Amino acid sequence: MGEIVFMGVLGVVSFGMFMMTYTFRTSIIDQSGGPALYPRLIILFLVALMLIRIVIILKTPPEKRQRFAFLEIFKEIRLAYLLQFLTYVVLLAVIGFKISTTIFLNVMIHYLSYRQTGKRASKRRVLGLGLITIMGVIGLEYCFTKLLNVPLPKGIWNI
Amino acid sequence: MDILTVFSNILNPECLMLILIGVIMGNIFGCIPGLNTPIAVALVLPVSFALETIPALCLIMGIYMGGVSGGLVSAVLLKIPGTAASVATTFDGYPMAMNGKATEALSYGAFASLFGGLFSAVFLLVLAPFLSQLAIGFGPWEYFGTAVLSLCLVCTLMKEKMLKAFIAMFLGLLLNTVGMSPVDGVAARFTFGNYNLENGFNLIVIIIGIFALPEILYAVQNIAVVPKPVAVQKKWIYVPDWKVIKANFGVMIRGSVIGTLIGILPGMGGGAASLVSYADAKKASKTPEKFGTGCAEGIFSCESANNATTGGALIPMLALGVPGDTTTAIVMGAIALHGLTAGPLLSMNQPILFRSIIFSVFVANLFMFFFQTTTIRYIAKIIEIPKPILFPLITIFCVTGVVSIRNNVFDLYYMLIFVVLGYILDKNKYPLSPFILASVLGTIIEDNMRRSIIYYGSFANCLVQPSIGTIFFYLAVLLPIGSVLLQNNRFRKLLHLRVTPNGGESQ
Repeated sequence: MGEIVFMGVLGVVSFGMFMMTYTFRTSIIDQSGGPALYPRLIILFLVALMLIRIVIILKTPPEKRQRFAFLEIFKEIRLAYLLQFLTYVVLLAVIGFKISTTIFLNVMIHYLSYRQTGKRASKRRVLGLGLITIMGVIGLEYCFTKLLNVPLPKGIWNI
Repeated sequence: MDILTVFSNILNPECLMLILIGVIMGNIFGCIPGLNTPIAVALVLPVSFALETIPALCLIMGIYMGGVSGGLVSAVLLKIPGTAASVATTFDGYPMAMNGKATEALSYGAFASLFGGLFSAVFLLVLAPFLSQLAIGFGPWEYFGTAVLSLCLVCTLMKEKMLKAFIAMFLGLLLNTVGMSPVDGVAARFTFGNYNLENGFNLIVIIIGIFALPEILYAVQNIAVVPKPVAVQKKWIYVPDWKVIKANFGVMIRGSVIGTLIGILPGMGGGAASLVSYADAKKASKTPEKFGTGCAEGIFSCESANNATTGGALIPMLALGVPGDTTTAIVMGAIALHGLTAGPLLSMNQPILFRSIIFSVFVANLFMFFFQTTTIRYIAKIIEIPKPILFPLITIFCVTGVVSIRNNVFDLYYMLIFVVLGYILDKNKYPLSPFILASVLGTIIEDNMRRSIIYYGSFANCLVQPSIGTIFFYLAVLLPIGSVLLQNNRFRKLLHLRVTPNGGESQ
């Protein structure tokens, strides 16, 4: 059932994209079918294949159908990982690479260690990890910005 | 004097150091379950942008050669393949380790990897220039036919997963249409007015989002499981006995041939090659009953085949501009980052670079062998890096890599969408390699299709041209149809073929 829902969502998105192709600007001298031709062909093929897949799923007895893996992303450790990752991505532009990465590493490592061992870290370990991550992040930022000339976000405090 | 230029391009301290770094990194990524070569290559792509072209490609070739053979260590010591290419190695590698011969198993694997890698590199040296000369006369219709055939071949060879492979492929092609339309550059397609999407989705972001982070998302749930590897003897160098090499020479030749040929087929990687080679070696062996109990032939056949795919996959990439597997698709992205296009024109316009890439493959294979044979027991320790430290580190490397491409945090937001999409596709058995190949080839397909229509007047006119492009296009249409029909028992009875147990039900 989950896979049918997934196909349905993809179908709706594909339909929306198909309708959007009618808004594409076309060059008056273009003789290649225009920018809408190729996406329309792809969408038609995709929808046809999805319909075939839906028919196959419906013909399969319910006890033989495989469970659709999706909702498990939003449970337990995976949900925590996703939320921490999303927070990190949001904070990256706001407070900069150094601070956001240090916070992310510390929170994530302690959280995953707790989930692995069931024990909370001691104050000494927290402090030690904090210092190591700060030095590591500064070193990583130096490598990227100074050695490889790759700019990284500095955030509102320009750190 | 070209050959001397090629040697000097590669045999200098910078390039040799980068090949070595690439081999080490590839080995590490290959041996840690959940990580693989495409992830390693994708992570260094932004870094490689800061390097010159040849040193950047040396780094990537090092990762490619090291990554494919890196899976050997975890396959033998943990019975967990580090990469798909080392699945078959677990069949005999782990039992051999359990019999107290872990050191021998690792040394056999390392030597077989070297043999397979060098064997296919020779094929690469001979075939790639020949094929690229043939392909120099290719026009838009021929490129279109080649790209469409390679995508359809990838999906058709998936057999039971063919329908899902085609769905993943078309999804990849559809997402590839986001951005400014090619040829005319007039329409901003599916951008919703967001200027960040006018250049479409970046390939590196797609690869990191589809491959790297979903694996971590999947693996974090089992963070409490801590694998214990089998112990390895302390030795200076892990080289197999000469008698063992001599006894398995034929096995390695067969495995290398199989690996090279499978590597040439687009989308087929080391996983398929090693399984086919293992089955072939077992069939041809005088002692097939020993396979699965820790037999040397099993390891030699798998490891020679999976490394032989590297050279094989580079042949269509360099000669035709069609990637042979996912990693070479990313390598094409790396070449594009430096303003070049992989394909027949590369050998014509940049012959020194073309040959330098091939020579770097030879050097990378040698470095891979020397590195593995001297550091296997240290690489084994890497498997024991705590996951709570490894996963966050990989995550920040992924994020840093993505941000460094365009210094645009927007890329991270759509990467998240690809992470969820990659998870859904992979865990519901939708193959990812057609999706990635479609992302690489999508623009080539549309661009050349529209140019062909302009040149010949209409698509119908293109279909009747006496050209290899027409043959490729018809093959692309007929192969999947033929494959579906052959899976149907009624059709097989009609052709007087043996009926299969699952025939009649497609997927």
